[in-house]
Amino acid sequence: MKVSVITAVFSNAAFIQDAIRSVLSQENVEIEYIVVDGGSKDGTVETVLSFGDQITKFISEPDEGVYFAINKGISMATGEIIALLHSDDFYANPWVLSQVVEAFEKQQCDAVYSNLYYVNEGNPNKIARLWDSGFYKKKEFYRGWMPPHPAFFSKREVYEKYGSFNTSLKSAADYELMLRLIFKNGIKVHYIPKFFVLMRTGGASNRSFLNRLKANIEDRKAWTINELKPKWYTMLLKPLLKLFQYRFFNYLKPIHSKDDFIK
Amino acid sequence: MGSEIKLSVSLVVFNHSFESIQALVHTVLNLPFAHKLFIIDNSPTDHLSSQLPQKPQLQYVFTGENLGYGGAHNLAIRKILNQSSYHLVVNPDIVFEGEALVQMMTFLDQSPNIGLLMPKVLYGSGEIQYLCKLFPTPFDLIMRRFIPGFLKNKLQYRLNQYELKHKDYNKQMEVPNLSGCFMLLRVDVLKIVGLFDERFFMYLEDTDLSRRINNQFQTMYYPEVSIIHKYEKGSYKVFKLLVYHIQSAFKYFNKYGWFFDPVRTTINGNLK
Repeated sequence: MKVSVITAVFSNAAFIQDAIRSVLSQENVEIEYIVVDGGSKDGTVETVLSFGDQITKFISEPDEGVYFAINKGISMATGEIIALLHSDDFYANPWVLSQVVEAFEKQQCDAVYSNLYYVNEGNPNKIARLWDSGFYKKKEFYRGWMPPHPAFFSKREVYEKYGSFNTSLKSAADYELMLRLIFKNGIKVHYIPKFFVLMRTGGASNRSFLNRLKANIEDRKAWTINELKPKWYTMLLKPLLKLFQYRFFNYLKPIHSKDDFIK
Repeated sequence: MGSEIKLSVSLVVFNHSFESIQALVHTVLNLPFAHKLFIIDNSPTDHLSSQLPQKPQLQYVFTGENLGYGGAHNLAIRKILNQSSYHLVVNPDIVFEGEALVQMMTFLDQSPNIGLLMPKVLYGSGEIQYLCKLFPTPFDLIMRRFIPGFLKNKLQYRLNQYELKHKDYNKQMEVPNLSGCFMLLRVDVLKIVGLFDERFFMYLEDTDLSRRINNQFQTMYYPEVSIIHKYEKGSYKVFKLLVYHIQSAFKYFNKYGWFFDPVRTTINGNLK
């Protein structure tokens, strides 16, 4: 099964290399790598181009935001499986996609999802938070649950049938997608309880109270535009779930000798 | 990922006589492919060295101090990190046939997503050892060791669950917590998740490593082959070992959480 990995990027010369390297280092898997740039002028384009034809498809033109760019990537993809990786994020190891493909081969499912680590921006070995997705039950959506979209791998036909990101939403576009695909249309998902994706801290929907409030309004919209009705507590629990992700004393690798961090 | 050697083996001894490890050493040295055996001696004296066979594949390392179980294995693993494809961590009280190891490695060759493989483990009598475990909770560890017999009967189901006794030990399965008595490890995976955490002097270092591998790769139980483990369960007899066990338990729960450990909840919940 061919995997199309899509990275949308805008002006991220600092970290895009890590993302690209982690995709290109994937073993035992056929990959089509699509990078969609929003017209960066900070050296991102040069960095991407330096990888030559290892990047299957690359476009750079001004666009209307990250989810718009990902949609563009999805429409260009030819692989059976679609993976979405942001330019800040990277795969935990070179056997991530081969494990995803194995799950698709062994399980009857439309999509596979896993966990992710939020890591310290300066030191990716330091875990700031973890997102333990948990096994899917329909009622979990009423508690504000969703799988993280960078750790969500789905068959391309799912997007063809039910559409990709709704770009009328800003911070809740990923939430709306999960709600529409899994909750509304009931695609079959398989959970791999492993940490496949490392995400640098500082996402679009976090931070200030005002942003939190805006995000909350958007989250509600995600339900209503799908003609779904959340429970009265859903919107209260959704931000609370995040609180349980915090961990303060966990490193990816034990530190017992300086050499162990070099690799 | 260069691999001049197919398999490296590390054996950590502490005041063991040569007789007690002779069969194991013999099996490893007669393996039908390129291999290397490290004997890491944590004992106060190196009297073992003179008795060992002189073979180029065998390297004896006398530490001069007790580095602990994980620390001593790490000493060997660091040496082979860029040479070996697979690494076997094995206890001195294990007996196995070379053929079993060959079969396990063939299986790993065919299954690139597996990072750690453990075979079926039997007592000398042929009885099965339940070494496939869940991630421990403080309650599990305390109960196993300290709860008096009459209460134990009532809580036996919890203990059984912890040792996955309700699962079929004749079937392959992915197990989060595999025993350190016989760990066949993929070296490329060790490079990613790191080696043993040396903060654990003894006990639970295997749980910790197994957990870190399980976080990213598959940790499989492979009952197609079996080995024999003359189980000592030392911490039930020697007080000092009990102290090590308790210290390690504190370090483990400080590391991953005592009562709130979402990864444990998710993975254990799925196996119960």
